[in-house]
Amino acid sequence: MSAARAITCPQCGGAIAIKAAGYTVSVGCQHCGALLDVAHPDVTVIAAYEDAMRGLPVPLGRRGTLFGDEWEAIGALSRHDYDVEWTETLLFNPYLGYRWLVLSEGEWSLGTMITDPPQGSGEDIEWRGEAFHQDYNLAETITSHVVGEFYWRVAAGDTVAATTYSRRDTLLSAEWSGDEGSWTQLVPVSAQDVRQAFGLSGVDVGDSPAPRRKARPLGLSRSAGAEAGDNFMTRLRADYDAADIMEKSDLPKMFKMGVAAFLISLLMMMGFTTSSDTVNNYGRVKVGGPEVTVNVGQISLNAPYQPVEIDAFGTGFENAWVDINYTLINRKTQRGYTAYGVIERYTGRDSEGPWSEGSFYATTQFSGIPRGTYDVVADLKANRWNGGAALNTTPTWDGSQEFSVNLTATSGGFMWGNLWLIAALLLGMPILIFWMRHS
Amino acid sequence: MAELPCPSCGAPVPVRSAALPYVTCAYCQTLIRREGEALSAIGKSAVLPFDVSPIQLGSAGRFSLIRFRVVGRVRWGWSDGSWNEWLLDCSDGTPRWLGEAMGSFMLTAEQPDLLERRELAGFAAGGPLHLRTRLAIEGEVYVACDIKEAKCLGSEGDLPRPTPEGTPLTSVDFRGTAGGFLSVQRDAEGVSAWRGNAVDLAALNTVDLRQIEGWTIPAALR
Repeated sequence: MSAARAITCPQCGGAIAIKAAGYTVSVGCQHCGALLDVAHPDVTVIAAYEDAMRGLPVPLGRRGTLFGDEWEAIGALSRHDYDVEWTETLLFNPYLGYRWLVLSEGEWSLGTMITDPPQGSGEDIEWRGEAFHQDYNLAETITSHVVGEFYWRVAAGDTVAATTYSRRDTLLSAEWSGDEGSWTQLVPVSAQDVRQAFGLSGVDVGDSPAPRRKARPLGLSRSAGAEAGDNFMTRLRADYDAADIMEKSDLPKMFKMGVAAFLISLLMMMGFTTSSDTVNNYGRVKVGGPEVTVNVGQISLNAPYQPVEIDAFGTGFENAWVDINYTLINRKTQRGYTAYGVIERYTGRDSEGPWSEGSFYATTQFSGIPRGTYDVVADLKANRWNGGAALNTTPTWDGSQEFSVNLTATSGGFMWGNLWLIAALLLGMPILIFWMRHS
Repeated sequence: MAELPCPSCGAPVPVRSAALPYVTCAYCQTLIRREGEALSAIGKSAVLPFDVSPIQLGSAGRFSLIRFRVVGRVRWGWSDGSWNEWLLDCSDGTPRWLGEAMGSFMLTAEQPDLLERRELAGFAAGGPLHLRTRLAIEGEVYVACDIKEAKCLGSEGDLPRPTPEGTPLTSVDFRGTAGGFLSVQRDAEGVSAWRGNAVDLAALNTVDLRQIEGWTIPAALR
């Protein structure tokens, strides 16, 4: 016999032991399904239902040990949105509070309410220093059945707007009811652990490793987004107000660290620039003509990951562009890596005289291609540009421009672009701060 | 510890702290005011309804360098539930409350300067406070998320203020964007503001928790 408050259901006379006495305010009678108000000494019926919820994943009153802590199942909700139905079992330990054991599409997870809400808004948020990405659009979630005891006013028909954010195995579930949001961290638990913990037979629950909840199209609801954005701006202002402690300036430190990190990056990138292999070929394309496939050649990559650079050079065309789709195909695995390049040349004459734009030359880089031997294939398609025609274009080869495009693929190139990007990221902010303070 | 007889039933009443002039007799629930050696009965508290709180009078613990002991409790009820406020006698001399609701805990200390804030002035003067009222405190934005009209269900132990059964209280909870918590409370005696954050019992290094029948105290809390 454990500590409990004993009540009698005013609807059916059934005996109910309230386990979380002092916390519990609502009870769904497991005998008749009536929803009871137990917040006060006199128990009253809030609503009578046809029948109690059946087929609970974990029988109420059952205890089990998960992650080293003992829990008792004291309540259960059955909930659904527009494409999934699932159950949430409320677990209680007087010393540890509440947890949720969620069973959805054959998968179990353990949920803990979090009191430090994630930062940020929109599809990407941050919680305890880690980035989480939104899995699907806010969806209306409806509670269809309730049984057992709960620490809030629960009722069948309760509706919230819910969504989840994920990072690897961990989910953060957000539920919005009006303006109030509540957050729960969910970690997966194996079906076997749950069965063993609560002594479940396992015939009906969570035997097959089913897929996680399906990803759905994104797009935050306006109201929640606006509210969150508002918070963010306020926070930004508050952060700015609080930031004058940093007036003492760690700017020299930022510069030093930035330069040091830049040098380390430079050395590492030089280290990666090892073997070099070059192949070359050309293809002839006709403006407005069919797509041409050019097998540029075969290159071997010896480092675990290395960059591949492809240069395209074509000349003898005007007012046209060439779309180039590159594919590196691993000879062994047939796995393909794709990238895109374009060469283009436009000329014309306007009130200010003749003009020309574009480049006959284009460089495309693949960054980290794994070790292996690759066929380099380019698909070229030349297109005519008509935009300048009205302004006295020189109709030199109009109609049937045909020309060559030279393609050169080199492995192990030095990624200058990345290096400059690193420099900008490392030093941009200190330079900006320096400029703001001294202007 | 010094003891004085209860003016109502004569049972011994421990005298713990001069800063806490009110005490509830553990035997007859009489609420007693203590002025020096003189005890006077000023009302009656209710027998607290049974609950499964892991805290009890005498539970102790430590957070950072501060040691504390639980010396009093007030239980508040509202239309949709109830909660406990445990009074902590802390080694740094600052009184703190450990709020207990829905299986989680809030540790707060009084911050009277907040009552001078423009946003709280109306409430302090007896007016209403609106949900979603915003308050920036030390770079964190607090938003009023819950307003409850509560009544005292009973008390035990030593308390700084008299709270006979039925004492009305308006309690406003603010949640901070970085996990902070603020409770602004108004009763017949006045207004007070208490700020802190949610805490895990394990982080309070508790000892002498209440032994709840049928449950083992988890290793992390012993």
